[in-house]
Amino acid sequence: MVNKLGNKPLVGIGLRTPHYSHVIQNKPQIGWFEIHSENFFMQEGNSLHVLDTIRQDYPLSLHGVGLSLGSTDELDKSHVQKIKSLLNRYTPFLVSEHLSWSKIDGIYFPDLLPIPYTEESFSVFARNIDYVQTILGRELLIENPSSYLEYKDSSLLEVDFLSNLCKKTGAKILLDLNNVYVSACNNDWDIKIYLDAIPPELVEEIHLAGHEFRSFEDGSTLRIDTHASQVCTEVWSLFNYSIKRGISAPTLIEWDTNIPDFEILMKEATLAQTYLNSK
Amino acid sequence: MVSLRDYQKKFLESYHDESSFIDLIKADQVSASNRLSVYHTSIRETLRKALTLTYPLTWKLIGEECANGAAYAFIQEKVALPQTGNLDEWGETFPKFLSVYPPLQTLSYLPEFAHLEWLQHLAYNAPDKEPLTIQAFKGLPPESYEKLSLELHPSVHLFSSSYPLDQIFAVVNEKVDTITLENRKSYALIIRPYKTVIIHWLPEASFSFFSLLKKGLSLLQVMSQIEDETFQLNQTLSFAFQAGLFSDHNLKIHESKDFVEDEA
Repeated sequence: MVNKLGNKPLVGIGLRTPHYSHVIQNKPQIGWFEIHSENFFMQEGNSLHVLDTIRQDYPLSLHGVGLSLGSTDELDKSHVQKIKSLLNRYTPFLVSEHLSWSKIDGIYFPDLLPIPYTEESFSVFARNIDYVQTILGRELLIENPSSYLEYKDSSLLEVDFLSNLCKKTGAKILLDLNNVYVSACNNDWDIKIYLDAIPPELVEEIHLAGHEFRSFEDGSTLRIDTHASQVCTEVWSLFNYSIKRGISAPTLIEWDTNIPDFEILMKEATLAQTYLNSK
Repeated sequence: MVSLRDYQKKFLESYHDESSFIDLIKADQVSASNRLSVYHTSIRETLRKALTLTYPLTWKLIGEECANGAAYAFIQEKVALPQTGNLDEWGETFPKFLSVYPPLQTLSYLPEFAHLEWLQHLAYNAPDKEPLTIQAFKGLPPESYEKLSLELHPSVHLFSSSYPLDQIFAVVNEKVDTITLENRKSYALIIRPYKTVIIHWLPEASFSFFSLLKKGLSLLQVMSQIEDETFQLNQTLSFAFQAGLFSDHNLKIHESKDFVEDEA
């Protein structure tokens, strides 16, 4: 496997524009890079040429944010085709999307919106994942989102919804541990119950990132998944706990806002690799 | 139980403050409205940021505070929301919105300035194609030149403005400190022959020449419509090859058409 060193999964870094030159010139010792698929939907141009160059030295993972798998609207077939074009060009070792929705009546919200965890939602997701996997000719990874609300009508736990969905469709789980932590804190979930319910064999990728607090005028607070800081101590502990549970997969350091020098990301990646190697 | 479609429709309504969506949300120490506001804020910030990336010079021209205000007003409008999951394809109508946004009514040139930035954005994302060099015409007999149809590079966009946008661009790009805005039009040709998007400011006749070529007319047909006696074909073609404006040529179609006409 290109994404493993011996029998140990490798750590990757989210590839962002400010680091293109550094990566091409210095070829840092990192296992792989992940890109946001939609950032490379143009037909040609400099961004694709840069990615062509980087792909010569590193495995890539495609991470989508715009498929809207939880929409009752019909899936955007041209969007799926654009992902397929990227697959043909870059042969990524992982392709992922989110357990969320963003499109209604032809309008897209650029966010990962929460769905009620109901039987109807399950059917919609299963149908859409099946369609995408058929067109792409490969399995998708589905990421648990950060959530800031829960619906009164949800009848299933998120973790059960996600695990059962993957079992039904043949998709795999992208386990974002920062999202688990943020959602658990915001919605008063038991994190241990969540992680213990994840079937380790379904997890094909792990995400680690930072988050921040937002305070409201009434004094209440929520944790917000900003990807703008280092991974917090509690999330590193969840990573360690997950590895001990047998959840071991290629792991990504994500940092999307206030992007720091590449060396800061390398330190985070080195720490993550140390955890993975320690099992 | 509320259907999934109704959840999603109510969320759309909630973005415009017209919904009972918060009744669907569990609330505890954090209110349902505060929880929902996280999503609304995130959407607005992502869209605003997308506009700043597509229109960086507009932001520079009118200042961050003013531009952000226009962006927030724009993205609150139902018709402005994206109809694509790819934000690179979104934002085309922002310049038109600027023309009706009351706080910016005095900057009459701003919508056209912003539209030119949109065309730069399109050029950046256009397909690649190797520009033709003069060598491509070596095998053609000179008498066939006038029957040529010259294909402009796929990244080429042409835009005429009622305002001297070249002057405004020079200020924004800090090539000059101040200007006295002249009362004249400007003619821009935008292209990305290789990695970098370039704006060429053209004389009116050259602009007409390239606009007619872009419509697919042959060189002969184009020249028959250029009335400006000062227009220099050789000089314009020389510029076009240097700037990489052509990506293909076609002699056959116009030859056969003209041949039939000749026979008749």
